Amino acid sequence: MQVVLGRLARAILTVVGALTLVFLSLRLTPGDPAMIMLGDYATEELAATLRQQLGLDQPLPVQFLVFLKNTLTGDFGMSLAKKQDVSEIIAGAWPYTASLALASMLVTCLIGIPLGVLAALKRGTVADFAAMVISLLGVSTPGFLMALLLIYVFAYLFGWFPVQGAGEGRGVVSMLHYLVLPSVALGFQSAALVARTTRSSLLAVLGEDYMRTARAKGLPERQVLREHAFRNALVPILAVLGLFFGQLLGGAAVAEIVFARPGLGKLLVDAILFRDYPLTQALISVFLLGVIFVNFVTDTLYGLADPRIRRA
Amino acid sequence: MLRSFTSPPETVSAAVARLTRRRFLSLAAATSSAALLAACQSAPAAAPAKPTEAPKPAAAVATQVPPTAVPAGSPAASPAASPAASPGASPAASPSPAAVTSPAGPAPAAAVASKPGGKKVYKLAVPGDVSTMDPAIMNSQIDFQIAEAILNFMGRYTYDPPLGNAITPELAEKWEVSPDAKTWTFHLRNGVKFHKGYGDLTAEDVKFNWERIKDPKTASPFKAEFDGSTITVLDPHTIRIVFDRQNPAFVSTSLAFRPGFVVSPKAFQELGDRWKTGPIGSGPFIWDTYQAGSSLIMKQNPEYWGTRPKVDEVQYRFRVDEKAAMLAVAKGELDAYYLSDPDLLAQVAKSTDPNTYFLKSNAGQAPFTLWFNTQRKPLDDIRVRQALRHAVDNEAIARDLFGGLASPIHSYLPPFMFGYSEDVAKFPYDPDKARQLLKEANVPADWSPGVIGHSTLLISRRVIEAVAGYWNDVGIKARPELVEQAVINQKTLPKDFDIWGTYITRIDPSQITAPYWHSASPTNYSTFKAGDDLIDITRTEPDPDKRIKAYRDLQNKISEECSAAFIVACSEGILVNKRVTGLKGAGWQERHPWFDVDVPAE
Repeated sequence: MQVVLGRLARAILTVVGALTLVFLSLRLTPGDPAMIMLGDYATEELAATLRQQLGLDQPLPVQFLVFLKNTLTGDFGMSLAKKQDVSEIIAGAWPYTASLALASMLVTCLIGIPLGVLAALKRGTVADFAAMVISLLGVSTPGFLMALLLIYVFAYLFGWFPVQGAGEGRGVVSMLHYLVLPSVALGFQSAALVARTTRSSLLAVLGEDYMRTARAKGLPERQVLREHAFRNALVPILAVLGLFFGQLLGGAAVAEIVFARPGLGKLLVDAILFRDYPLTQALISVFLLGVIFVNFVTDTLYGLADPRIRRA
Repeated sequence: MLRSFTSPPETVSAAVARLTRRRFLSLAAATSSAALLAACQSAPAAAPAKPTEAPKPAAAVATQVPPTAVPAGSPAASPAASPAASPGASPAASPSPAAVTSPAGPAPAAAVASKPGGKKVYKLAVPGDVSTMDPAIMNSQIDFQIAEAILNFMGRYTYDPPLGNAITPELAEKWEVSPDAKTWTFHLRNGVKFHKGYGDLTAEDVKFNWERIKDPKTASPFKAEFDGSTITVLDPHTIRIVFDRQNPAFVSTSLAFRPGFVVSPKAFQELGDRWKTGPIGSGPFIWDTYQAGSSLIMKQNPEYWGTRPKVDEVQYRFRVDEKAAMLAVAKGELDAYYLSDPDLLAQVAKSTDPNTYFLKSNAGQAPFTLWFNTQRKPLDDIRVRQALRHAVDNEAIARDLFGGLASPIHSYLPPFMFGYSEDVAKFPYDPDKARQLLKEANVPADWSPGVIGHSTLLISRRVIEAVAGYWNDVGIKARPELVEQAVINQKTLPKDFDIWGTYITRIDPSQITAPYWHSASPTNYSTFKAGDDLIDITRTEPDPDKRIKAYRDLQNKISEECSAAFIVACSEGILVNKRVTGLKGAGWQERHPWFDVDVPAE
């Protein structure tokens, strides 16, 4: 209980600290939302009127208190760029980002872990070399390039998948169909690193004394690998996966733009460019909560994978 | 050939600005565009028409012929009483026909058969997103394009190529203006209904829209156009506006532009903050479903008072990647994509993909202007400004940098616009003369002017980097400072710059004359003072011929003073799937063909 409360307190402190940083960094960044809204019609007079309407003429501490109060009450306000309720915008977009992140994670696991295991078990063979070349390609290929190549080959040339969109309003099967290419584009990159982590972690475990003991006492190889090798190698893999999931939430922007999908990442890019303070703050809050939640889940999974962590 | 564009030293802000996603994307374009172009050029040799050929509007395309139209420059004529004003005709006040050219592109026949009983859905994508559907504060092209489908103007510019200045009556069936051009009376069309049961249009509705623009609380950029006016409803279908000044271009400047849209006051007040996600107008399409930053669906208005559009539904996709969007058009998932990257524009213009065709505007919609801050030394010396203009080869920039999809310019007005003049002081490319002038003006060898531009507008980046390269060649260490829109106005309004450049698209010359060249305007960036008298004539003189003369004299004077450098007017372009018919061009006006565009039913 004490551990959970401690973690909760840390999480709250992290959120408040991060929100303060976001608030300050946005205000300290050059650029004025009122001027952006007015575009090439901007004059000082019009900008002053707008600033007053948006509350941007208030002293910074006052703005910060208003922001904290609104955030704590769940009122993120109105988007400056989109002239729409921020909560409404996020509610409309988060399912697309969450489903993309989950599907990408699935792709990461389905490709990365088997590839890493194969490379570790067949160390020094052609299979090991091939697996590592594939992972090197994945790590070094920029996400947008991977996305464009996937679109060109599988959507344009073969016509198996749609080029763009998320299948909005077309049913679950259609939406899954639209999800394939973006999740592969995002997931393949992290799969590469997971494969490398799996390989090195498994190789380290395979050289341990207890592996020799397990084999010496006559356990079948499959059982040795499953219960003694893989389980012990799992903690670093989980750590990498947890890290990736956090990144996926924020880093989905590239896939969302190239595949023209709705999503939080794309919204965040626009919000920052527009100096859309309310939307940026709200999105970062959502990402923070997402990352904290994923970290919590990862911590719990560590304990399941390794009882020593649970006891500690 | 174009001279080498050596990059001058960059500021931190420029360097930061360069590390944007778009910049990164463009660096990788060399690899990814190879695949893309393979897709766009995989045509059989015999199939396509040359993209650079002038188009012949498809015979099958039915052109909406408005009942009457009035040249924008002829305010004194009531549209109903304007016999010469047919669309496509060259009205007296319009530029000469030679100044405007037809947009390029083939006239495709719909190759895909319509499915009986199916729905016609026109799917298009644009690089940005909707900002607002409130016409009083609207300032983006994308908003304007969508608003033209959802809302009605009082009068609408005609779109039949070549680009013209004629205005078709829309919500105002006809209008009269007093001989002194101070009093305008508008007679509204009967039977115009707002969407979703918000009632019939009345003069009170128009008054509400105009009064909102006048209200300082609205912070409307169009407020000045209604200042000093008194608005009176004469009867439910007649409204009068009386100005305290002569205002001969009221319709062409205001009522056929963003302030001319009319929204339902009842809906506007009822919806409040929800207006953005459900604007109510009386236009040919109804706003249906919107996903912020992603998509919009508009459905045909079954109660539309005028000619119905040919498509049942329009689907917009926002914030898309250009290369992926091009593949989507080639595959048929999208019908049209509005290109913004000049590199892609030039590549697509040469594409021979049998599934697509390319439309461009020839007239040069967006004149790129570089304002010199004449309050700063040594730019206060006219010889320095002349040197800056002599140092730049506009023709080479247009030809080599934009693949021929831009025209060299020497004036602040684009060639299609009312009052445009070719007869202005020109500064031909002559680097030796530029060096000589700089020497005469004793310009310090270490003078290093900053050149501000938008980092996110590819055309801006391209032109500014090229121009800086030319200036470096004559010994001026120009520094491009490419920054975000968020920072631009903070530098330009207080005149905290040496040189700054951008392109501005408007429809009437008055919209880019007084705001940028009148001494009282805060956006007179080069502090030009010698044209106030002429500008006053352009704003108040009822005789269109006299206004044209004033515009021409003003253009010459601005050019003589070298208050700014005018570089190129860039064309715009659309990549279109061959199943689409009715698109007439890609220019500022032709790109909103809501009544003419057609696709097969599916």
